[in-house]
Amino acid sequence: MTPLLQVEDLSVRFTTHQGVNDAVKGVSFEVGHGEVLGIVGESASGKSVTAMSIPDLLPTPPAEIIGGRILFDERDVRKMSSLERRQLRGREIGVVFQDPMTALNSVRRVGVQLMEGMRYHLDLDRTEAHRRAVDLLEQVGIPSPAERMKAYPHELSGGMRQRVMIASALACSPKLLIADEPTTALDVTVQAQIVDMVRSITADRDMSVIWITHDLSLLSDFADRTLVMYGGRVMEEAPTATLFRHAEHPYTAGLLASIVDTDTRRDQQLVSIPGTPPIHGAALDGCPFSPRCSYGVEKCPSVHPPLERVGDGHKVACWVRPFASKAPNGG
Amino acid sequence: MVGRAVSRRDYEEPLLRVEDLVKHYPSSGGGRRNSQAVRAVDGVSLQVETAETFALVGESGCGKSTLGRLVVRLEEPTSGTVQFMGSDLTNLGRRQLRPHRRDMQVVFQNPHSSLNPRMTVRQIVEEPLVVHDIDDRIGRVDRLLELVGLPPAVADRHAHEFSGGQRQRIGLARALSTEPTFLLLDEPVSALDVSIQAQILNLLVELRDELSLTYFFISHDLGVVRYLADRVAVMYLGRIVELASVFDLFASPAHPYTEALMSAVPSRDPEAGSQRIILKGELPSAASPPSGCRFRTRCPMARPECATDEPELRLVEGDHLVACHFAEEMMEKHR
Repeated sequence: MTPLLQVEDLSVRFTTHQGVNDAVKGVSFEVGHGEVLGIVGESASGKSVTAMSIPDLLPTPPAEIIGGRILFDERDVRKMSSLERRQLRGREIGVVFQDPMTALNSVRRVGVQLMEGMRYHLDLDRTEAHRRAVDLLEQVGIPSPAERMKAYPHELSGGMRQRVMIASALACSPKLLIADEPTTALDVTVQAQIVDMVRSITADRDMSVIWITHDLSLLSDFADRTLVMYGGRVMEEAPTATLFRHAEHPYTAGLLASIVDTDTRRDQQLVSIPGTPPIHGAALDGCPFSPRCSYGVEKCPSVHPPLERVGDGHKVACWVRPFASKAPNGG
Repeated sequence: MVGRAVSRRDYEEPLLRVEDLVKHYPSSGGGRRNSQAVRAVDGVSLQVETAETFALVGESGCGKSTLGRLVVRLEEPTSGTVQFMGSDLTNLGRRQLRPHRRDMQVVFQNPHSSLNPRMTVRQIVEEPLVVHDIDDRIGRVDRLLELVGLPPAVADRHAHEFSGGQRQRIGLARALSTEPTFLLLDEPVSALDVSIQAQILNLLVELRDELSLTYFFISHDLGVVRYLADRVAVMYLGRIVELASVFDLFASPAHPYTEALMSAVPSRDPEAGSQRIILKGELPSAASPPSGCRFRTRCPMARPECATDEPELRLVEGDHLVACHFAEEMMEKHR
């Protein structure tokens, strides 16, 4: 079966008065039907830009897709007409942002906003759209959904707004849900509620998910596969369990080691990655992580290593692969 | 050089003693008669010993930042007292408070908004010295920068030229400039990238050990708290629900809220997810908290008496304080 989404060699450039920034450079990946793909990265890793280029949600200018192909359900997104793209966004791809207020209109009632997409894309009448909107609010865990239809976004808590946003993304039963750090601004107990809810709804409907986060731990029991990005490039891609056990890229290994959680030992200094992430994307021709990498060789800063298959579904972009010998599935 | 308010050991322990502290804000309803006050901090008592790291954890709206601000008197309490190094800060005027300010400094969460972008790093770090009339400034900025791991060359650049982690180092250098004994750290690493967080946490540990600093550490991140703190207080809706040594708290959380909070933290271990406690419902409003136990509306253990009897924060075992009628049952579960 062809994957639902195929991204091939995607490059995105931002041109501003401050100069040119290659935010995403040569990124390729796939998302299967019903699969949950996690994209993890720090600031300026290109994770959001990559995801937002799929439903054509990048502001152009300053952004421009300068290369690559995006195939959604075997259709080339970049060759679509603007009408086709609008249908793609509303019907086939649902998007959830970190801040729900970027998508919700603060002066319109929640219910009206929920019904709008369904009436446009699914051609439903008022009564039917209203019924489905109430259903949706209930599914995403909003108490007294019929009354909440009349609420304005500011009358809801952050967690509730994010639930409304998820309801609106799911309204037209999309094939793919793109969630860009939807729980980052929320408390951990609310985050747990929301991850739990999204997991069960998307699994029930066999929906594919791209979940973008800076928190690798969040993906451990959620994502089937995880893509690790840094400085606009893919560093490593693997089934999530493999990534946690046998990360091969020095960046992934460093990121895993620097996670401070309740299993971290108190009597030891924390492992940290020296230096700071690049402010812009791929500024180097070579590996963007090379200035902070302790395993680098001479060609690292000048020649970018290809993303090579090293095991079952496991790909790594590193000339050195210092941790490769530890991996039983390597080579 | 102006002297300190109190010489460093002329007071009875503990360093900080907070008693029955309350902060109510008029509700957003403005001057309306019947509008209820938001009870941000509602009767908190705690003590912090010299050179310990005391952590305050809780979720947004629990009152932890307000409590922090009350402790260093960036806010006036509605009632209750704050004693620092033996002096009652609650009744001091601005001028009388100033010498104490030298001893208690603050580092905020957002390194992008807490440093003045028009000032050079030298001006930022030096400013508290000017305010407190501390003369001996030559070389001091360089030494402070070195202390936080920045090269002296950065002194003449502006704060906005630096990344989040470096700005947090600048904020620390500034806070340390007056040689304080006590630092209020309000979510100092939450805005930083994961790979940078560990750098700053290591620095905080180094500084604490080297300078015998007392930290009042506010965080929502239990991993960070477990790594850094000696004792931990858990807050919910303006009240402390549990207070214990970091070992006791993590080994046997005795309040259902603490347990839920711990289980909600994402873990590297995919198995952890299956035991996750998903809390129902939402945080109630701090203007009208539930009767009895404030957590009861979301508590998986709640029983009828929880709606009528508010549980006191009481000693359950050793120095483990818990505000739950069923703390003993909870503890039994962890044995």
